[in-house]
Amino acid sequence: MRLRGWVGLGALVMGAVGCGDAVGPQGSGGRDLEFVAPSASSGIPAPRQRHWNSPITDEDRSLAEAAVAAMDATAGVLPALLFSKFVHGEWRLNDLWIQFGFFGMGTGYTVTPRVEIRGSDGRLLQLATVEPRSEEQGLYSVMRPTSEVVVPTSAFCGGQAAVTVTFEVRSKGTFAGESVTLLNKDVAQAVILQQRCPDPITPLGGGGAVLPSAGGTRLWLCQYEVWTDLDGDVIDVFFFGCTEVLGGFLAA
Amino acid sequence: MKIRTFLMGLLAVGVLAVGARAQTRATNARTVGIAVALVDTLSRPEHRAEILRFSDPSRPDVILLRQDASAEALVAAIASYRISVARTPGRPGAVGRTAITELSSATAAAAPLRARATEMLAKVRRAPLAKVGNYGRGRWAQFEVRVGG
Repeated sequence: MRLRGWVGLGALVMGAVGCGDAVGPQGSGGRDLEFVAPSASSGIPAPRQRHWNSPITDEDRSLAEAAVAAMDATAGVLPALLFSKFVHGEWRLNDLWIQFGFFGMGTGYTVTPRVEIRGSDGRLLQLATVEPRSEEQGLYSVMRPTSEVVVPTSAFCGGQAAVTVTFEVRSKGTFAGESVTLLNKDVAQAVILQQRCPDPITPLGGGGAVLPSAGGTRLWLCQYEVWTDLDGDVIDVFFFGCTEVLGGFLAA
Repeated sequence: MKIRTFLMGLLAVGVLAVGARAQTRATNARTVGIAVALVDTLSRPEHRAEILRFSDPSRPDVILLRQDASAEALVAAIASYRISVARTPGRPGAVGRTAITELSSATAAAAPLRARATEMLAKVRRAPLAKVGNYGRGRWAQFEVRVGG
């Protein structure tokens, strides 16, 4: 009797230990599925690539200041000057963050950004329109506006962005009784390098791959994994990257 | 006598447990219960699917997809879950969230799992609305999937 009791206990323990494949509540639907997932706002790995183009230099600044000092701001129309401009951007996951600006002089300006995202084959994947920024300064003065815009992209791992920003500086005034506008236009372009496909999963082979834009014979995944403790603090981040999924992982 | 019986029972349990473990390792394949849920929004807009691993026997791991998810997305999520289980052991007291941010579509490689994924999604879509964790309301159903091996 006692022995039978122990065997019964053994069977119970087996159930808990030997067959420890956790299965939660059976059934489905109708009942609430209770869990609390930690916030997704922390621990997200952000593959970043940065590209700078024509940052404003100290030399530009001193040139501009000297020009302002040399000009008589009351002398009718003064030239619209554009000393330097910059565009840079970086991928933050699937968002393309772009900063641009210029350094010049005039009474107003317009900045018109244009973003093209292309696949590795050069095919246009996305053309983003960003609202132009325009401002009237009124008085002839030094201008150094900068802007930052975020362009959500459709997760083109491997995509490359070309950002073109047209800067137009103008100077309005009166010359010989006539209203005159002088323009100075320039273009800055930056190619934001290919959005990095994170490191491959070694056991699966392949890797570093550019996702086919559609279809094909192979299944590719871009994924990452974040482990958090019960307080929501991040313990580990694994960037599995973009990899081809093979064999047993796709078994029925 | 009682002590000897106790020790013998304990030994038998131990031998059986070790044997079962060894067998599990040898085949390295097992079936686990997971919940598949369809919700309106995932934790981030760029996520195509999320997999939550609770490392807790009292609750199943959860694959979360958007309401309009395709069978291909579920195929990818199951594959991703299997990859995660293969690479990262469960951690008691911790929660793992795997996020799929991009996947190729309509691939021949997904074919072996696509039919089952289609059935699974159909079952989830037939389920009544319910609370799905802190993802709001949605539909969910529980399935067995093979991992390892």
